[in-house]
Amino acid sequence: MFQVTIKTDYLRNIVDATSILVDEIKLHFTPDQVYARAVDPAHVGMVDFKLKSEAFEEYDVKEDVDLAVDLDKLKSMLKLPSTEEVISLIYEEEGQLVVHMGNLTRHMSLLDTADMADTKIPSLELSTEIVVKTAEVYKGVKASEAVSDHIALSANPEGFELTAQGDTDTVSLHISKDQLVSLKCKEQVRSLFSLDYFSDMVKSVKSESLKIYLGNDYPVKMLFELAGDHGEVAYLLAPRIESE
Amino acid sequence: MENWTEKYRPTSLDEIAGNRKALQQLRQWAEQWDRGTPDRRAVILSGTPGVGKTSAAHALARDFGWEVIELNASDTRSGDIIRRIALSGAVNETFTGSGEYVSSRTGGHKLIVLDEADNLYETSGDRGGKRAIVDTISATRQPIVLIVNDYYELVKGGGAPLRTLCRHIQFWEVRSELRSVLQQICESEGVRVHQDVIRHIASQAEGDVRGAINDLQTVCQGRREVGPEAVQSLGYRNREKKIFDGIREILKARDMQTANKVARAIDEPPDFLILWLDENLPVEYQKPADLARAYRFLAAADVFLGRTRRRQHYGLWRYACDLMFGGVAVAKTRAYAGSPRYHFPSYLRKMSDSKSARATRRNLAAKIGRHLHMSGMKATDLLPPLQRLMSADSALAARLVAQTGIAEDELAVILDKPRAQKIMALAQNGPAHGQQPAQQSLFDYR
Repeated sequence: MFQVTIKTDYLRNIVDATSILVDEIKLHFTPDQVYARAVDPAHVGMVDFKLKSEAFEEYDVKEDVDLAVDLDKLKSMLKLPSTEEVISLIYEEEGQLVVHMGNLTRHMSLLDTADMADTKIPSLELSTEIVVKTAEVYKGVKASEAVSDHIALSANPEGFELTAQGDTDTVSLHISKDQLVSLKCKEQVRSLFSLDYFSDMVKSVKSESLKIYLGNDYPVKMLFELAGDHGEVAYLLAPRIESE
Repeated sequence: MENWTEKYRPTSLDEIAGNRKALQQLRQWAEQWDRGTPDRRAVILSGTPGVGKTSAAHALARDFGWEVIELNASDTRSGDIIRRIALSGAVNETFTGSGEYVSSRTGGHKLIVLDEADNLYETSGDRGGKRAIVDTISATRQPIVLIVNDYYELVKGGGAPLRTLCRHIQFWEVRSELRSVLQQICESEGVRVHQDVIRHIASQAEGDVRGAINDLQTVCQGRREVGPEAVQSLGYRNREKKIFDGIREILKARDMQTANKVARAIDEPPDFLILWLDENLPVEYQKPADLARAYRFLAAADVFLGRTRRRQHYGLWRYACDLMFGGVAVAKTRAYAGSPRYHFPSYLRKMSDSKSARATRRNLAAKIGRHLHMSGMKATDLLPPLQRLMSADSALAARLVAQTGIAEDELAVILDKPRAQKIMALAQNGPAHGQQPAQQSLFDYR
C-alpha cells in the first residue's frame, strides 16, 4: 500500500523507455526507489531502470510492493490533452492502481505478478566506454535508417564510429576522440546490431549525453540519466549473428 | 487442483511416449545445430492434437540447453508481430530469462517455437503471416520449430517455400504406449484404477495423450480407488457434441466469416457436414423463403462436392465450404431465437441401419454376377426377373441355389422367408422330385 506523486514528464520518460521493448512490466517499489527489469519477447533487448525516491514530488512507500502494469494503459493516460504537471499513483487495494491526474481519476486494473518472471540482468565484460552527445548518435541512426536494417558500432583509441551498410549505399559517422565527451578504449572493438532496436533505444534517451559500453561481437550496454541524476536507464542489446 | 497434463508434461525427449522415429529425427536435427547452421533451419512438426508436438519442442530445448521463445495461438500473430518477435529473435543473439548472455558461437541457441502455425491468419485477418514466417526462416541463424495440425494448410499458397526450407516431421497418434503412460500417472498419484477403465480411456482417446490424461484426471478426481463402473460415467468425449454445437453456431452466425471459421474449427470434411446441415436446416430456419434460399446454397455446395469427388481435386472444397457454411448462414433474413433440438443426419442413420441388409444384397448380386460374367452392380438389375423365375419354379430355384452357392439369408432378399427355407432344403437334398431336366442349369452354356 503506497502513494507517490511524480512529474508527468518523468513518468512519460519511463513509459517511453520501457514500452519499446515490452507491453507489460513489473515495477518494484521499495522504500527508497522504484526499479524494473525486462527482456523483450524475442530475448534480444533488455531494459533496467531505477528511479530514486528523490525524483518524486511525494514518495510514501513503507514496504516492498511489486506491481505488474500494462504499459498501454499508462500510455493512454499520458496521451490525454492535459497540462497537469504531476500524476499521483495510489495503491490501496489488491490488483488495482488509482491514477490521479488533476481532477481526472482512473482506476486501473493490474496484471497478475505471478505470471511474470523476474528478469535478471547479465553481467557483461565490456572494456570500452564511450560517452557521446546523444544528438550525434541520433543523427547517425537517422541517416542509417535510410540505407540498412543493421548498424555496426566500432571504436578504437582514436574515436567511435557508426556504420550502416545497405545493399547499395553505405552510411558512416565518425566521431573522433576530441569530439567525444570521453573515451576509454585500448583496442579496436566492433559489434553489429539490429537497427530497429538500436534506434528505438537511442530515440528514447532523454539526457544530453549517453554512455555506451562496447565489446567485440558482444552485447552493447547504453546508460543514460533520467530525472536529473535521480534516475538511470540501462539498455542491453544482443548483437546480430553475422554470417560465417 | 493442478492439471495433470501440465504436471506430467515430459521434460526430456526420452520421457515422451510414442513417436520414437519422429523424436529421433528431431534430435538429429538439433545435433546439427551444434556443428553450425544446418541446411534446413526449421522443422515442421505435424500431427493431430495431443500427441506431444509442443511437449517435444520444449523438451528438445531443455535437453539441448536452449532458451525458448514462443508465439502461440493466444497471442495475436499478424505478420508484423511475427517479424518483430520471431524474426528479431532469429537473427540476433540471446539474453536468457535467467540473466545470462549466450552466443550462438558457443552453442547457445534459442529455439523459436511457432505453435499452431497453420491457423495464424484467421484471427488477425491479415495475409502477411505466412510471408513473415518464410522470411524469418530464410534469415534465421537460430533453430525454429513450427507446430501444425495440418501440414498442407501451412505449405499451400504463400507457404509453398516452406516445403524446401523446412524439414517435415510427422507425429502419429500414440496407441500402444498410451496405457502405460496412464498407468504410471495412477501410480504416482497413488490412485488405484481398474484395468477396464484404463483400457477404455486409452481406446477412446484415439491416440490423443492429452485427452486421455484429462479423462483420467476426471475419473480420478478426489478418489483413491476407481472401479470398473467408472467407465459408464466417462461417457463419450465426443465428436458428436462438437459437431452439434458447431452446426448450431453456423446456423446462428450472422456473417460468412464467423460461419466459415466455426466450420473450420469443427474439423470434419464438408461432405460429412453437409448432411448435418441438410438435416437441421428446417429445424432452425422457420421462414420458408429463408429455408429455400439456404437449400439453394446447399445444393450449389453439393455440386462442388460432387466435382471434388469426381476430379479428386480437393481445392474445390473451398467453394463448397463457402457456399454451405457462409452461404447458408447469410441466407436467413433474421436471427431465429431459441435453440431447437437438432438431429443426427437421418441419411447416415438409415445407411447404418441398412448396412447389413445392403451387404447381403451385394453378396447375392456378386454371386449371380460371377456366373453371368458380369459385375455385381450389373447383376443387381437382374434381381427382379430372377425373383419372378424363382418364385414360379421351385425346382429351378433349387438348382440355381446349388450351383451359385447362394446362402439362405441372401435368398431371403428376393424371396419371402418360408419359400427361401423350402428352396434351401430342396437344394441341399438334390433334385428329389424325379425327372432330370434336359438342361443342367438355366445358365449352363458349356
